[in-house]
Amino acid sequence: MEVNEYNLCVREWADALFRFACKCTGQAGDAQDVVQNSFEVLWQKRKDVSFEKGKAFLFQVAYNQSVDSFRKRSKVTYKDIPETSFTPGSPDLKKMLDRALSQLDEQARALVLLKDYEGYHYDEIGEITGLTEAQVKVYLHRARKVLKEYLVSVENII
Amino acid sequence: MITFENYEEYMMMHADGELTPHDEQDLMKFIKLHPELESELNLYGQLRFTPDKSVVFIDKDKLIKPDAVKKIIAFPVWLKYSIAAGIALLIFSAAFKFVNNRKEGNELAVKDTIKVNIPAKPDSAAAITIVQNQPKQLPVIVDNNTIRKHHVNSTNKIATVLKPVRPNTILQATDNGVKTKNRETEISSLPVAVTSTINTEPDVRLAHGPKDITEFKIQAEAQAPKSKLWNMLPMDDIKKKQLEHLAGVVAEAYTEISTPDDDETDKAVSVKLHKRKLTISF
Repeated sequence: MEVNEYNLCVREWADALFRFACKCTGQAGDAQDVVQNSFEVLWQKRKDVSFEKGKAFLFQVAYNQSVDSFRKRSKVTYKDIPETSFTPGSPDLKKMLDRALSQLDEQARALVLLKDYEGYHYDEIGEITGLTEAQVKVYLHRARKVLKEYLVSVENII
Repeated sequence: MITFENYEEYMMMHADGELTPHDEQDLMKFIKLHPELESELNLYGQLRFTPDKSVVFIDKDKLIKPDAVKKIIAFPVWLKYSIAAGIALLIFSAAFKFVNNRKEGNELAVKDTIKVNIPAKPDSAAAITIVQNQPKQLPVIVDNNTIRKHHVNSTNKIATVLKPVRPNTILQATDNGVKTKNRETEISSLPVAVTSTINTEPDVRLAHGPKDITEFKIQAEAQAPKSKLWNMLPMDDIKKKQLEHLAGVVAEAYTEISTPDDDETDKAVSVKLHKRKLTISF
């Protein structure tokens, strides 16, 4: 990867990486460190990483660092927001989903984000996270089920 | 086969976009058969997280690395054409020199080989090849008598015998009574030449009978610095020059050496020059 390609990676993927790190770590400051460290690693290994693999490499580093950061703090705390009515497709659903996401462990959360945010397939997520495709499928389905049950339970409460 | 035990897996894969078209059709058929599951399918579809585009990384400039500075040197148009013309001229000169060298090399290779054709007998053709770029050795001489003997014995073989001889050796062909001398030996027989012919450098000499050898060419012939030898003669400078000139004319113009006439003494030499005969008696 040349310098200009590295800079292109910064312009193309820094924001997505930051959003992913924010959701994984739950802290903007930690997410910023994750992004900077990820690009620093990419810069150091730019000769071994092609431009086409740059994005996956960045998310791989960010995933590992986010998981480490999350485990150090042991738990992500979200600020409680007063709940209003729940209507599918409304902004409230997004907030509900964010709260549901906090119920997941760091690995499941990263899998869901890689799938929904970046649209990676199971095999690609497996390359990033170091899991097999079958493991990704199973963990992801478990996470979806937890999210669904959370939303159904909230809806029932409401 | 989609059943009530595994339909959730198909629904989640449908939401993830990982179902094959065939499985997709099977799932739709299953939902049609069980419409009460349609709301659950929609719920899985809503469990999608969409990125908030308003969240951006603001310190991108800190991550950007400076590109290597590229120096752009602007050449004027005339300078570009001059450089191109110079390069073309260099290439042309190099090619021209290369071709010339090759030609000279071929010519030298041809010159280095001298062929002497000796049509000794009608039924045999002989050729002697002397390669002159060999290191100088003692002068060699072709004994014509030996050649004839070989022709007598074997008709189809090339008969050449090369003998090392000392300088100034005269080969005498006695079958027709004609002496065969080269130019230097003829001069050396004169008193003048006795003192002046000191050319002892090794050389290639080819002696032959006047009737057998019709053509020969020797292109590379060692030349002695004769002008210095003339200076050694005990006479004044004018005579030296005249004698040198005369010797030069004789050396360049003589065509035949024959036995002396009866009226000439043994120590005399006669030279015909422009309808005049010069006789020198000793």
